[in-house]
Amino acid sequence: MSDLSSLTASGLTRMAKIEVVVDGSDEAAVRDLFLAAGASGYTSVTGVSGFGHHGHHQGRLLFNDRASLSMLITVVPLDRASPLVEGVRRLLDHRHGVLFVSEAWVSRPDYFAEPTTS
Amino acid sequence: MPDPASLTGLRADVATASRLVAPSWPLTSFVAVNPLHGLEHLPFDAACAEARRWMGARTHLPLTAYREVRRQGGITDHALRAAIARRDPLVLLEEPVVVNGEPIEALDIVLLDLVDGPVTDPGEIDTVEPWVASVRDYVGIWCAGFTAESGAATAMPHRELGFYRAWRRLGRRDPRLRQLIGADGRRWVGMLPDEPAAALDVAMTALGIDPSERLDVLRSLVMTIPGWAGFARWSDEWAPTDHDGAKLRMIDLLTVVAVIHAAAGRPVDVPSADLIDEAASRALRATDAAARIDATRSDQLRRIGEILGRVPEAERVAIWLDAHELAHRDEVVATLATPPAPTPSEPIAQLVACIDVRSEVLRRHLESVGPYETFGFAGFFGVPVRWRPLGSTRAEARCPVLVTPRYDVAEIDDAAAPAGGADAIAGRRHYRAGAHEAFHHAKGGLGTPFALAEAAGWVLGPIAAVRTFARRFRPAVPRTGATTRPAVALELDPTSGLPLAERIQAAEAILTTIHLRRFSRLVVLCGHGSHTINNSHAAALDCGACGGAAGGPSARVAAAILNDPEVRQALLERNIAIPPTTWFVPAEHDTASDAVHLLDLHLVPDDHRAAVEQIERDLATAGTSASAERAERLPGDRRGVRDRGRDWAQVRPEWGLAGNVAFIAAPRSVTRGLDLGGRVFLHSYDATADAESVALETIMTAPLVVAQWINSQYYFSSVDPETFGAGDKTIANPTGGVGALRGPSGDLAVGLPEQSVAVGDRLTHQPVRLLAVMQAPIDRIEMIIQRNPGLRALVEHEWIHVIARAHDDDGWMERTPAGTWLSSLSTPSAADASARATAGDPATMAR
Repeated sequence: MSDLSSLTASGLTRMAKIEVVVDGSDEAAVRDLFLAAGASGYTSVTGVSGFGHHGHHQGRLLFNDRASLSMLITVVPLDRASPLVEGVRRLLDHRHGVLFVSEAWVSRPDYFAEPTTS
Repeated sequence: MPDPASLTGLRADVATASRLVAPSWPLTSFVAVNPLHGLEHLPFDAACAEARRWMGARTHLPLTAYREVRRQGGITDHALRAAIARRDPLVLLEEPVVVNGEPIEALDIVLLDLVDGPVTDPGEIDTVEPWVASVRDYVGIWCAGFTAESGAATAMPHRELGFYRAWRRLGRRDPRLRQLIGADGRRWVGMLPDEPAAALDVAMTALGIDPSERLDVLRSLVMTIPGWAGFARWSDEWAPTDHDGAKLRMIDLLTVVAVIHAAAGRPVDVPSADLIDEAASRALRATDAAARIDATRSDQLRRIGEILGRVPEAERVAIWLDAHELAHRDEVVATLATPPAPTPSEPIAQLVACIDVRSEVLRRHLESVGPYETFGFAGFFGVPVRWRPLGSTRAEARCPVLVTPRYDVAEIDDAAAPAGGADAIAGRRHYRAGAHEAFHHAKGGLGTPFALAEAAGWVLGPIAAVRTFARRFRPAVPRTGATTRPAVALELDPTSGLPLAERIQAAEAILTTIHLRRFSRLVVLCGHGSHTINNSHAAALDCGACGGAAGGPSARVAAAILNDPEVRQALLERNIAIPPTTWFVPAEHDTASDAVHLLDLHLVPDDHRAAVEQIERDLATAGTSASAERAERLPGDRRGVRDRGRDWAQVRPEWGLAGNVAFIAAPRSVTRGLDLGGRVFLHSYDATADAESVALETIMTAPLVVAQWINSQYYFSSVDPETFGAGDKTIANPTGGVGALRGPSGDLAVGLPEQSVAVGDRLTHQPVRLLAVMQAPIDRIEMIIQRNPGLRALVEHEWIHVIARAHDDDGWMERTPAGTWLSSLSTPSAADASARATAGDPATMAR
């Protein structure tokens, strides 16, 4: 971590990266939580395959975009991370999915600081 | 200032609570969906218990209805015994009750209770509190105004801000609100935060709701207005990103409802899970059973009570449902045991139809007319496109809602069009389509019908009179996406339509999934639609695989792809050789008249015209036979069955998918010549040509899922039309293009109208869960179930039943919810199955 700390001196800004893997049917709910918590954007990867607590998950299917897992990734200023995490955890109390929170260092913090208006 | 974490938690709770209702698509693209879609993560029985608790719904037929099916031979005692034992095998180990020296088995006591015991089921709880009904009516009016798709001229002001904010600015001035919450309440609303989640948080606090109770309260709020909540769920999760109407968000809707409750100081009632007094029910049933077997001693009564205690009240109807499904399963298996008709060695033409149950009837009759070979495939033919017909300004998705359309395809003028020139044809269609759209927008808007009546009443009145007295006055006009036979060609330009790579992939997917490798000179790709007039739920009769639209455009796109020389060349490299003499012709089956229209005939090569004329004649013959078969099931005058779609007073132009019971994925050689009664989704599949199981996985994760949605919608619309159905079609009041109300106001009606499943109190649809019948290696089926959690939930939670066999000569195996495969079906006796296959279900049954 000491190496990463030095990134501040390099002009990078520390933020929180939040990654959520959920059923495709829950993707919209997670997106809404991201935006409501002040995320300025997100990346969505559909058709995610893998193996975990609930066994195998097949990736992209030919004629069903909803059945596979989706991974949503966002980066937010640290002060917005906690409410967002609370919302996602609350959702995952009742739905399948996993949540990862980690540090991220960004070169253009203004990109992540302005919430979208939609 | 509310805690930000509390607000995101509240938003998450709203998302969770919304799962109580299924998404409800706009009426113009009616999509069949399981009303308990949000509860599919639960076993069927548990989901039904949730529905009974939160919705006050009936989830099964009443005992009396099942008993009538038994009396008519539709359910045998053998099936009932099997159902009891499957649900609770330990009942077989119970000591018998000895009465007058005679042992009476526990199984027989349970059977006695099921067949003759007292009815103690409380049924659905239909009564809605007057206060809740008032809130529902009031909020419903504002939802209708907010969502109306009638154009900018009459759009509700501020709707770009979202429902809560728009309502807060305008609805507060509505005098009806004052009646609900008083002057003080209105002032309080004016002081609320403008952000919906913050306002909802304030309302929750004002109602004194602890955070741990919030989720249940939100669920209760959802159920105060379930129809509009379903539409809100569609807006949140399913509305296309380019949807041009207002989006009614769930957070906004629940905030408005919660705010009204809080402003009025009315607590939100959370329903209890205990609707049934089990102890009282058991005592009553035990006393009744004891009397029937002359058991008078107290120890005998106690033992009977213990035995019946194994079957709680809710399980009685669940066992009946299991038995009904066993009976249906055995009927299907018995039918499949009949030797099929031989496949013609040299078919004169091939026809690929949708898997829809109505296609089964047409295919069967066509095959009986001549040596035709038919296949079943999802009616969008594997090309997920948005379609814009010539003359229309709107493009519509033509694929299952599970798939996001990736490309736009539009009709364009064909410079080579004959007779009259492409310009004239295009001009006429522009005019007709434009006028058609304008008229129906005006008719379906909120305020515009008044102006329309003033402007066009003088001509519509006489037309209405003629329509009333002369049903054949004019043919039914297709709704948007007209597929009348135009002399225009499709645009499939790689630069603006489907790229070549996509066309190749689509072509390969079609041909590989159904294993079409031997080609006739003519191959007809036959979509379907239902052309009816004055039918608020017309889209429910169209093709589900095309997103609730007619399938002709999809067939045209697919045929154009398969006739494309570049595509054929690329397919050669994938070992698919379409002979140069083969031509694909698109068609559309009008399921209301059973007429099949071949499309794009101007593109057919001259040397195929004779073959086209022959199949046109044979399709006409098959259509006549199919409609005669249909007439047997429809009420009323059988002679006019093909004209019902043109009769604007007709509430049942056809039965749609009523009666659907099974989904079969197997080679047609397994089912050819067998009368499946228009009740089976038929997907062609040949496991021997699918070593990687790609086609099987596609079938099990898409067409099977769509079929399950359809089946579930018919199921629940049949067992509880009040909660899950749209009610009486004759009083359906289409509102703003998004749905229909039951009368002048209130909640949005969801599901199928009564006329889609019943005639009066007599059900035509037999509500049973879908039986998936797969002919494929068991290990491959199991592998696919295991790696697709959504499918696994459907199977293991018993939303569908699965039986399978690897080869024609194998016995059927049953997939249990626990994940094992039983090598022999635990069926009623062979005699039962045979008798039932002969007798079948009663044509209708009481509800």
